[in-house]
Amino acid sequence: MHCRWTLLIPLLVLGPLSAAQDGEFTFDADEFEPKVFEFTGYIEGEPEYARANQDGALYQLQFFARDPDKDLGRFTGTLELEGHLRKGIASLNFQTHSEAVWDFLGDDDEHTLFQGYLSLQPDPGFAFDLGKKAIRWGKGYAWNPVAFVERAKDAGDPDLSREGFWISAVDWVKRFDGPLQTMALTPLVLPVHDDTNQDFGEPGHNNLAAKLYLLYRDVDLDFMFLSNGSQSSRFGMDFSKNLAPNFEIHGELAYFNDVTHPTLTEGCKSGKPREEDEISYLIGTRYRTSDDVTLIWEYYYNGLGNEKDDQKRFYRCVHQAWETGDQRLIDRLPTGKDLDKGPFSKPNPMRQYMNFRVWWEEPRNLLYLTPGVQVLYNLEDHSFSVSPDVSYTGFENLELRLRGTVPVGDSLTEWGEKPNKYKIELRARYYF
Amino acid sequence: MAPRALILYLLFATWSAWGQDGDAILAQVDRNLAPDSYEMYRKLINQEPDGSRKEFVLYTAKKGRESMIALFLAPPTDLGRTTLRLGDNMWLYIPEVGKPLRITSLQSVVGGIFNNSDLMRLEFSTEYEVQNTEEQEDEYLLDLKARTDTVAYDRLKMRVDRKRLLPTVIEAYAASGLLVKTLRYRKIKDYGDGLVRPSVLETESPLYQGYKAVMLFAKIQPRAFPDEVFSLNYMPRVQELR
Repeated sequence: MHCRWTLLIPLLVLGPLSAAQDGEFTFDADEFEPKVFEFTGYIEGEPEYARANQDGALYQLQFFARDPDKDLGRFTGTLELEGHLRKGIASLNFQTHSEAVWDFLGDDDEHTLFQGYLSLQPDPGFAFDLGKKAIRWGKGYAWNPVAFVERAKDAGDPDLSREGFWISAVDWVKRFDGPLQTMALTPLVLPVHDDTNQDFGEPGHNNLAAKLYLLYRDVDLDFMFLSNGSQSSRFGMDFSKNLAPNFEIHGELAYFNDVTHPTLTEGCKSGKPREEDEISYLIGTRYRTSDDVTLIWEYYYNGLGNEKDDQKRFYRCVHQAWETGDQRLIDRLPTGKDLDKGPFSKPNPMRQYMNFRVWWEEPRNLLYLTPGVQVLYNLEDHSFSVSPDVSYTGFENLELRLRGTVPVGDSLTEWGEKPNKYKIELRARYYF
Repeated sequence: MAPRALILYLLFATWSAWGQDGDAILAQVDRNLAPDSYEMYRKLINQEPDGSRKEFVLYTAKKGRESMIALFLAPPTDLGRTTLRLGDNMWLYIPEVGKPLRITSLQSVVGGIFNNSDLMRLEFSTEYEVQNTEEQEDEYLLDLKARTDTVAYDRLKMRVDRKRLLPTVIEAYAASGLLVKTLRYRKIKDYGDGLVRPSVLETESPLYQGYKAVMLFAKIQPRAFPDEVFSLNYMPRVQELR
């Protein structure tokens, strides 16, 4: 008690201080008191250079009616804004995404509301969300077969933020003592109408989906479903568990009813779609060495993917159209307006893949520097891509990443038909 | 035989008593550092040999011996990142990724000398048992051994101020016996509600010559939290807690 009074004397003399001080180090925690409105975001510039692969089907699709070009440059500018308005149990949240691209196709810009929703949380165990929100399901890093209510992610850049869907959702959480430590239920309704969530699937449905999460004996377990409606019904589960402090294992399993597979005829026309029930699954591990090297390995079986022969036929048809200059052949192919979403031209359109990613945080004690490499491998046609990268976070509020990508594969294989022989990109992202 | 047995018994009894005293001292050290359930703000400073710095600010909530959640408030690059610990389980939520991922206590979400174990330590007595206690003039020297292999440092040598029962210096060793880092607690401060404890933690590591990491503590205050705060579903909403 005596000591406490002795300590209090200088405090009383100096007056109340909320700042902890240590010589040149000071900390005024009052600066970080929560505000009613918070506004943050980032601005990003990404110059990119690619050497064209003029023999690649995806190059030929892009340059069919254009002058050929060996050097493909692109600059992408991105602005992402995020805001939160909080009052009592309610919060209004938004995230906008604006992107401008200058490349061989010309100039283009796009402004999208990624998220914008009202959240009511009367209790930490219960929340209600209404509006546009990005839902993320699954434990996989590169792919998520159980991601029933979200837009596809880029396996080569899986951490990028993505646009959500308009939903209403409830989040109910309960903690327990005993082997079952946590249970959480998240049911949601995702309506699809002419002006709402059109790209989710067939309009005229109020789709019901739900996820049940359990933390049972230190294992994360999820069970989820999506009702029949805009898409066929589907059920799934995932898990994640640390087998050792530095070794994690995760997996996902999904069952899809009545999946429609597009087909192509020998004459390069859309064939009769094939309808089948399918399963997809993923199994993966994450291991960290004592030298701060992290390795991720994943195997992905994609039941929704194309058969090897159908995919080859698509590439052959594109080559045939390119060689003959026959625009009608191209027009008959199911490519869509956006090649990244076409059933045969989207990334990873086939059935069996492997992802290997390794990165070394602060090698040789070089602070904030992280070199890494990712290999995506198509196990059916044995083509692959290698993407070395290095990122640096040592500058205040700035993140830098330099990345190269080299696709490797024969003709009529996924990475052999990519539009470039190699690609180099530098991303500078400034947060505010 | 009887005298020898008596000597052995006395030695064992003395050793047991020391062990018990050590555990009691460690439990009191935990209680003197923070209440059982509390919230606090921390600033982490990584300083490089050339004097340049990187600073992080975290809001932290802890409940009992098993549950802790921490939200990054600065810098803007890390804003909204949240780490959750439930016993030996640890997750990281990154807003852009949009879902929690499992992480280990060994890695560092802030880079530099501090790792996740330093940021998300529950209580010393939860993670360590006292193997030996040495009484010196002004301090106790506790030799601590990790209870499980999920703890980042296999052994700690903790110097404890005898009067205040607060740690002053901690040396952290890997299982190989290698000294990984030295932590120094400084600047005793009264946080109110009877909590008088160091407000500064300085860390140096022979593995990072010339580098220094400092943690400043502010607004440590008792607070009761519902259990549901410490769940994966609540991680994106921790800001609502403040």
